[in-house]
Amino acid sequence: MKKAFVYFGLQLKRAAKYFPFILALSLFLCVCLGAVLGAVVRLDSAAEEKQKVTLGIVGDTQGSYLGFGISALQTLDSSRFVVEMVEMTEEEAKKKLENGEISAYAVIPEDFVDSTVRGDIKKIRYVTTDSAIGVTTVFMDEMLDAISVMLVDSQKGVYGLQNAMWDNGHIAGSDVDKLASEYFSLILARSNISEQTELGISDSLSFGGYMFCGILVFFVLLCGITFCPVYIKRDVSLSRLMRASGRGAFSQIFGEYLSFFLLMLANVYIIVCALALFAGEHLGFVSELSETNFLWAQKFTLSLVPALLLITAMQFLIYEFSSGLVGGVLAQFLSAIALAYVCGCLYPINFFPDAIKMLSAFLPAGAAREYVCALVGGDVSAQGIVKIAVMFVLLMCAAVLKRRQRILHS
Amino acid sequence: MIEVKNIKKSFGKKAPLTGASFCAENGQCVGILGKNGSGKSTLLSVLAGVLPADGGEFLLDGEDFLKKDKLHASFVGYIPQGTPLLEELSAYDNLLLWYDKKELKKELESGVLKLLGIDEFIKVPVHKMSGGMKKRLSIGCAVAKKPRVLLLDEPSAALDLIAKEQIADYLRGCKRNGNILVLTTHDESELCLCDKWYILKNGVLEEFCYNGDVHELSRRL
Repeated sequence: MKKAFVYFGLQLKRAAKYFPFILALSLFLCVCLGAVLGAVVRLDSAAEEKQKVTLGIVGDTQGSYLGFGISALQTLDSSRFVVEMVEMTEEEAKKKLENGEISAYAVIPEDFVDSTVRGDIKKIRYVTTDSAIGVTTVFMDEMLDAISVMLVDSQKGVYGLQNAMWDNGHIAGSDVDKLASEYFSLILARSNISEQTELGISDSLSFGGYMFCGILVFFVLLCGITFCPVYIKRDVSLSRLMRASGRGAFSQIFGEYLSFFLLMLANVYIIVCALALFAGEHLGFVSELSETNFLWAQKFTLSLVPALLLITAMQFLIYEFSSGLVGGVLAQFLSAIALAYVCGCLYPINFFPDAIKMLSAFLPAGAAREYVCALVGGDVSAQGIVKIAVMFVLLMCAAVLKRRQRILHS
Repeated sequence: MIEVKNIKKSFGKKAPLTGASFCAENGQCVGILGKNGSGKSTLLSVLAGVLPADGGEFLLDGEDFLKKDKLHASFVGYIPQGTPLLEELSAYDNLLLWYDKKELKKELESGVLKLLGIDEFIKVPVHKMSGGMKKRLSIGCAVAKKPRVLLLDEPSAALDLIAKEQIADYLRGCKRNGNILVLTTHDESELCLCDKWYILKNGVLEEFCYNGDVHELSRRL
């Protein structure tokens, strides 16, 4: 065991010689990713503020309540600041949708009002493109769904009541009108549709908070590239000699991985400190981070340890599989990009299909992102830590097996 | 003395060693020759304990060292073909992996490391060393436990004449001290160091007497 620690010490000393280079590259990466993150968050908030979703309305809107409802949405409801409704023919709507001039169009069936009066279920059909799945589309879908359900169901209720009263010899007068206006009040009083949608997108974190976590994980993934010159083995002679002297793959991996992890931790610590000290005020978009000072940087880095253990274990395994520097750099880069994308580091995971979400949860980057999100959201679970521990052990076992295989078959 | 009996090793369908046997007395040097890919390095790796043997025995004074992992490391020193060194670190740091600090100091002052001339470049980082320096340092690392048997995989490959002579001098000293040397080689000058010669062919060792006739040797390979 003593010799294993000596090997660890020598590996640390060796890697420390590269540390200034690693740190400089990491700072560069951090600046680049910070700029991208800032731009994304600013663009997103600007878009939310400025972008007005235009919906085409196709079909019969002349029904008494329907026409009134739409004109109420356009003139009275707070949604008028977000959604603009323009009446047009379906042909026009299709063309405008293809040109991106409108976000979607809703087709109101020709006998919509009459069928509603008869109690038939005729839903408003809305048409959108599937290529532009994003915040806007999700928002638009939510809006249309709400409009469709509310208008149809409310009118159905009102007309149904009116019919029932007529059938039973009652005169539907001011009471029905009052009821109808109550329904419209309900529609107009609904609020925060956009907020509810946003909660769904970002795993109970704000958009800024989610993206901060995702980009942080992506940054650590990319940092794997900077360590390539230190940990990619081109010659396994030393490993063979160590094995001949009774120090097998486990002892070797222990020393090398521990030094790698500690340097990565130091790297992340310095970057987080620098972020807290010099760019703290720019982290205002992360509403979950109330204060970002030096003390916070230390606590935050320490809390990141489980995620760092997992990501570094994965990166270390990639080093073990790489036999050359170029191949290793490419492997680290491509795995960082692919995993960051699939695991929702670059884009909210809730936009992905359920199968991808499931897959992401069992990938190291996905588990690490979930942990960091939980950490920032103040909701770290024991289950998440156990999952990380299990994955970490599996990755390390794989690294030991790979080293053993390289020693035996080189 | 050592006795290597019927060593077998295969990698799937490929069987570089199908029953390699040889023996050597104390103070003898055994040269293993063979074509590239004939299994010379595999044989040394098996004897060094890096690769597990599929069968056979490696007897040192009657004890089978293939079955005694812990003792194996103390009695057998192995110098692989590549450079088993940490390139970024100095000779001193590399030696720390194999020696205790006190022991290292002693060896540098008057022991085997002094004999190898490592004290002259103790602070030089490995990546700035010449091939000869690296090889001497590799030997210095491998002999830390003062092994009785030294396995050398092409010790003077790609070295200049001076470095070759330095290594040969050291190996002659080892022989005088009663160490048993087993080396694989393609080098004519190293063949002169040997007392016994074996050619590894079709997984088995054939003994032959080298009399300096390189053509005869080439024909037999």
